[in-house]
This record gives sequence, C-alpha cells and structure tokens, in this order.
Amino acid sequence: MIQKKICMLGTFGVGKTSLVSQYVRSIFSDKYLSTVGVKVDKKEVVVDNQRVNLVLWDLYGEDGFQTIQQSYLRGTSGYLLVADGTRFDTLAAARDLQKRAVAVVGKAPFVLALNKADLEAEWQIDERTLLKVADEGWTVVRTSARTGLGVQQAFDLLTRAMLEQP
Amino acid sequence: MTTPEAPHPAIGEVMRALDLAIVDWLSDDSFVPLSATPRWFTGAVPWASLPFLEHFVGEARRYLHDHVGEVFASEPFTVDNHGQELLLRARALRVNKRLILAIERLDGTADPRPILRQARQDALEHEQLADKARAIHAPLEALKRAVGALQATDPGGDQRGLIEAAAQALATLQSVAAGLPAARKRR
Ligand SMILES: Nc1nc2c(ncn2[C@@H]2O[C@H](COP(=O)(O)OP(=O)(O)OP(=O)(O)O)[C@@H](O)[C@H]2O)c(=O)[nH]1
Ligand SMILES: [Mg+2]
Repeated sequence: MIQKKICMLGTFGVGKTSLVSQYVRSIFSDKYLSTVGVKVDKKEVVVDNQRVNLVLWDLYGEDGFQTIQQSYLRGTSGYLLVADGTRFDTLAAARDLQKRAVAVVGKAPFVLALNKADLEAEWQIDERTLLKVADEGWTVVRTSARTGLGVQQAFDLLTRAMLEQP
Repeated sequence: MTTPEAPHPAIGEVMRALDLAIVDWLSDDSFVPLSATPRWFTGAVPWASLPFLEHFVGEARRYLHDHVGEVFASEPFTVDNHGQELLLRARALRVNKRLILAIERLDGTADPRPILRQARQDALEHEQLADKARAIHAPLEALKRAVGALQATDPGGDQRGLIEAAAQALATLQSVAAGLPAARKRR
C-alpha cells in the first residue's frame, strides 16, 4: 500500500492536534494540551479508489520555547499548514513556516487550513487577506476541528495532490 | 579488576529501574534488547514499525556515518501506551559496528510538558488580553471627540459640571490606555 507522510505545521494553539484528532478519531476537546515533542498517527484512507496509508506527524507549534527541527520535515509528501482564523498573526506565522518547509521538502503540495471557523464572532482574517493568499495559488479550506467542518475536505485535497505528484 | 564477559545480572535491573531500554537495532529494522527492559517498553507499542523511530534510525545512520564515536539524540516524542501518553527520547550510537539505541522515558522533572503547556496557555491568554486592550483605542477616540464637541457647546450650569467630570474621567482613561498595546498593523 502507498504510504504518505504528512506534517502538520502552524504556530502554537491553532488546532493542529485537534484537527488530527477530529480526522482520525472524530474526537474534539476544548482543553488545550499543547503538544510537546512529536506525535505520529496513522490513518488508512481510500481516495479515488486508491488505498493510502497516511502517516500524520503532529509537530509542536513553534513559539519562543521550541523551534521545529528541520529534519522532521524530511520525507514529507505534503503538509497541512494551519492558521487560526481568530488570531490574525497566525497567518503570517503559517507563511513563514511554508517558506522554511519549501527549503527542506521543495515543491511538496500543501493545503492551508483556516481553523476555528465555528468562532465567527471572533474571526479576524478578512476576505481581502484571503484573496491575496488564494492569488498565490494556495488551496485554502475553512475548517473547524470542533464541528468537523472542512476537516475531511482539507485532508482529501491534500491526499489527492500528493497522489498526483510524480 | 577483571572485565566480565557477560554483563552483570544487576545491570538489567538497573536499566529497568532507570526507565531505560537498550536495544541492538539490526539492519532489517528489527531489534534485540540487550538487557531487561522497562515495563512500558514491553507494552503495546510496535517499536520496530513506529514511524518516529523509523525516521530517527534513518537520520541516526546518516549522522553516525559522518560523526564516528558520537551520540545522536532525538527530540522528545510521544507514544500511546494503554491510553497513557509516554514522553520518550531516543539516543543512538555505534558500538563495534552495531547500532545501539537507548530509549528512555522522560518523567518527573525530566518531563518538560507541564512547564511548556503552562507557558503556551499563558502566551495564548496574553494574546487574548492584548487583543482586548487594543480594542479600547477606537471607542476611546470616539469618546474624546464626543466630549470635545460637548465642551464646545458652551453648556449651562448642571451640564457643565457633568461634562467636566466626563472630561476628567476620559483623561484618566487615556493615560491608562497609553500603556496598552497599540492598534495592530494589518499585514
Ligand atoms: N472553537 C474551536 N476551538 C478549537 C478548534 N480547534 C482547536 N481548538 C481549540 O484550540 C486550542 C488549541 O488546540 P490544539 O489542537 O491543541 O492546537 P495545536 O496547534 O496542536 O497547539 P500546539 O500543540 O501547542 O502547537 C484547544 O483549546 C482546542 O480545543 C476549532 O476548530 N474551534
Ligand atoms: Mg498540538
């Protein structure tokens, strides 16, 4: 069976662990248990009649306390960039991580998940900013690890893009 | 002193007590424990096919090839063990061409999770507070204009006193707000 490594990238608290947990186990928790070190999950999926074993690397979010070891990115087929729609600066952090990811894995496909879409009242990322991102050819999906909205879609888009890679 | 042929039987017990698993990692990615291993090691984790270790061993082989005699250490990683999340660290070294892995459990004071989690929780709360603090500037400006406009109307008796009280309260608010984070620049 084909195996694909996916890294979850994004600054701390954006919902990387919650997205994996929703996707793999259909579980969501309000409690913030920041990831320390690396946690790897597996999920077998069928996309376009192809069985794929996804190996999901949930990395800790970068902050003043820990920076991502670039070696973790090696062997990555694609990555899910995660930003928190209720925290404007997390988008800039995602852009920064994306640049550094390119330096290690080259042109591997990625999808930007704008997470916490259920928190509309606190939303900080406006349409204009989003259009700019889309203009650069990025695939953007609004997700909510809480309600499940867009979660499957984000991973499916990424998996398809990875399978299309030579 | 003589060098014993086989390791002293006590060594295994020491390793187990120190939460340290020492294994000989073979080229086909199977492994052989070199001493008694801690209880968590013989638990539910399929070590030989653990994606993190697969990756680590690859990195370690590369590194140790170029750095003879050194020890290559992983960052902490977590595994599920009967519903419990263990925080582990692996170190790799070459001994007589063999690749030896020492996998240790980080707990007690060696476990950085409580501190890092509290730090991130605090950082997030600080961000939220700063956002709230920023939100004060716009209504404060509106209030300043309104009080200024009222002062310009040349109000009579009672009203003048009220407007002056409002102006004073405003001045206090402004001096407090001066120390709060300024409006965010949108990138
Ligand atoms: N309302 C809402 N809350 C969310 C959502 N996703 C995550 N959260 C909450 O946001 C907080 C952080 O989520 P995590 O999944 O731990 O974030 P992370 O990116 O893994 O964080 P680090 O491991 O510290 O990098 C938790 O309190 C979650 O419950 C979402 O879609 N909606
Ligand atoms: Mg996490």
